[in-house]
Amino acid sequence: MKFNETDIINIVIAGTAGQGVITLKRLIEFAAQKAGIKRAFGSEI
Amino acid sequence: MHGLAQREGAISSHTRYQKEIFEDDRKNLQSPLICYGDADLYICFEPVEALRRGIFASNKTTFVINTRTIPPILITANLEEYPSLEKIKEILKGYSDEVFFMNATELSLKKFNSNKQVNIIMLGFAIATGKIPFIEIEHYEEVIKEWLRDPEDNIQALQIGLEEGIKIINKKE
Repeated sequence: MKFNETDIINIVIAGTAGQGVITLKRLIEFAAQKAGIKRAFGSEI
Repeated sequence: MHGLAQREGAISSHTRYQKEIFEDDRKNLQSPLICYGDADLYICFEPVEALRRGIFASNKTTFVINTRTIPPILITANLEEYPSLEKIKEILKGYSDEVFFMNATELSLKKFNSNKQVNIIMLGFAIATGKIPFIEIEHYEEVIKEWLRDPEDNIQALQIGLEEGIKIINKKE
């Protein structure tokens, strides 16, 4: 699937406590900053 | 904060991003929560957790799922039965054809003698789907070097996940 640069990308990360869900979420967000992504939001539920 | 989970309790998170923004801010990413049915990608470290979050899935969703099960409390208390992987796959196929499984825990144990790298292997698997666009492997590697312990192992885990992921996805096509 081809995405446009203005598309909003939505990723759900699911697991159980202790598996590194939040670590992975933050890793993607930090990598997004490095990649020059203009806007990145996230939530931890 | 929505809640706290102790070990083996369910956890999920939403990550949303937009590479370039419109001049009209109303068209841009505004909220940290994904709308129902709007997820492009599910990264699931445990099969049943994919079902628990099904509400965000639709026909545009790709699922990458670790096959290693962690029975929730109702299963260990013999009050419920853990569904088979076939059943889980069948349910998820009701949303989308893009359902991929990998035993990332076994891979991590085999390569690193530890299950600490499962999440990074799963990230490599997820990248292989093409559903995390505009972020290159080098960006992840930079972050891994800056922020994670054992960066060499984690970078290797990312590569393993990517390579195995490509094999699994190509096998389907």
